[in-house]
Amino acid sequence: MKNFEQYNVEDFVLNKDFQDWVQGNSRNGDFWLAFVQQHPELSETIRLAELVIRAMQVQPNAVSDKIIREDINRFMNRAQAVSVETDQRTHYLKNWGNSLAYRAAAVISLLGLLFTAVWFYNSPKVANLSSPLSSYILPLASPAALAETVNSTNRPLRLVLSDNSLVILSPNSSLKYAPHFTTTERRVYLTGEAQFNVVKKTIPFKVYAGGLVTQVLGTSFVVRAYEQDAKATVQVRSGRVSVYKMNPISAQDETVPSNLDATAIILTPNQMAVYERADSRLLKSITAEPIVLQPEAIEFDFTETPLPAVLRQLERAYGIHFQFDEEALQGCQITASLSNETMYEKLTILCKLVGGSYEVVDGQVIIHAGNCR
Amino acid sequence: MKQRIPPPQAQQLWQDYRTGDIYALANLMQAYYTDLYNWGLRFCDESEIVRDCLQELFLTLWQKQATIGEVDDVAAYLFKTVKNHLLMEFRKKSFLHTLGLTDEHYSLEVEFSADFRQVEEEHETYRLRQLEQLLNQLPDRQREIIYLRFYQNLDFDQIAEIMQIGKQPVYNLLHKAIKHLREYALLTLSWALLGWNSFFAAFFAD
Repeated sequence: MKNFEQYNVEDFVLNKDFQDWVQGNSRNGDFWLAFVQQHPELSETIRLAELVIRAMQVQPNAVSDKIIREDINRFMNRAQAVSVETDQRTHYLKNWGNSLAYRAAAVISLLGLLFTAVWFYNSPKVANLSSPLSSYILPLASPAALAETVNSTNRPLRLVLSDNSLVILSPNSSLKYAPHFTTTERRVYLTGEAQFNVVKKTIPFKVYAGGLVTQVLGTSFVVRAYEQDAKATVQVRSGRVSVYKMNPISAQDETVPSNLDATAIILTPNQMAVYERADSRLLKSITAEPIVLQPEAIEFDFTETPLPAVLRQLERAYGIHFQFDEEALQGCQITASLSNETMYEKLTILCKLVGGSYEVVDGQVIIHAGNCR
Repeated sequence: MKQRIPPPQAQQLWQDYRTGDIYALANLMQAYYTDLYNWGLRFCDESEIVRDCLQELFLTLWQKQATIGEVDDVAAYLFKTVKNHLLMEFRKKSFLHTLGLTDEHYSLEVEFSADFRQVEEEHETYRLRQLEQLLNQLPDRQREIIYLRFYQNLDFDQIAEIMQIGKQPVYNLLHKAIKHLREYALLTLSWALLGWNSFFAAFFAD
């Protein structure tokens, strides 16, 4: 294995890291810049290697977002099975529409939240009842279509799904769902806001809303994804949920940073996911009003208690991780009664008492020490 | 700048698609569309045909949803399938089919077009044009590998799968091509130093 000092042109060109740097995809830019400066004798070799890589490009034949969208639409429509059934009690919907609430240049939304959605299945398989796909089709092979409940009143609307999960739909919100969930998945589509109390089952429950998918086994959480909002949020009351973006990162948009988190985030109680639609960022934060998870066990009256102990108590109470310098804060003594304040109020008071500050980062609270000695 | 979805996410979408999630398949289609379209144009220069081919490809994938297996690498699989589909189309329509020629014989429409940004010095611009010309004269297989590696940013395993050859042959072919370029480029350099610039340029233009 050669080291870089012995590289010739071919070696540099074939080195993936080097290629990434020349093509502007690198996270290691500093390394190569420094290397070039430290090895002036290699500068010509490197320059030639760079030129070779630059020569190996092709005209991009850009295909516009619009065309991609059209083609994907065309695919979805053709993949769709068939007929529409109407029923007096619920409103069955047919067409898959494309609702583009976001900037077209950034993310292409595949989920028609505003319009209708369909339940797809493969028509040749309908005839073949022994196929593993039959779980998708109701036993009598009628096409499974989605029901929709719209709350156009100004009070919350309760509805119960086929697995007994409870949904409390906020005003100006709507939920689309299969009248009978399949044995592989429980899926709903939300526009607006709703609180979910999901019955625990081995089948995952997924909420599609505003470009996010929230997946749970059974728990209590609130999803907020109004069309007109710039953000969608998921707040967890109990249990654990995983939240991920519905779309992959936009391959066409060069302003999208390359270190986007592409994996799901797990939320625990009192945590919140915030999805900034415009730049497709998914962040973890803390809910607006964290609740004490086990009220009976916790005391908030302190007398000359060192701050670290107070913070540990808060951690236990809210189930949120606090980060702080134990040693630095050991000398800060707290005498206060904090039972009636919200978590944020408690933090503000504590920070004032010790001349410090706090910030919420990635679903945790970080305390910056003051000078209380 | 070529940014694709990370392989673990692609593999996850593939799994979801296999369980019947059409949105996962549509997500894959969206993620790879631009790259597959560009790749398709290497085999057939008509946009409509390439777009139709992509439609058929994903529709077929949807039809096979319940029976299709795992794939080692989603990107490589998609690239390979697009190539096979287009070549099949091409062969059906062409004379080659009736001759019964194997799939060794296909022509790859790759025209290298250098990236001239950040190249300001005239001798470098000149050098770059030369490299471009040399590249376009390389044999098909070498150009295909270069395209997949340097334009599509695929790794050796993926390229090996797409071209249905071993990983070492891929590496060797690539190495050979670059060495060839390097030798000619340095040769020019020495000629240039001797003041034979224009002579060489004329020679090269043949």
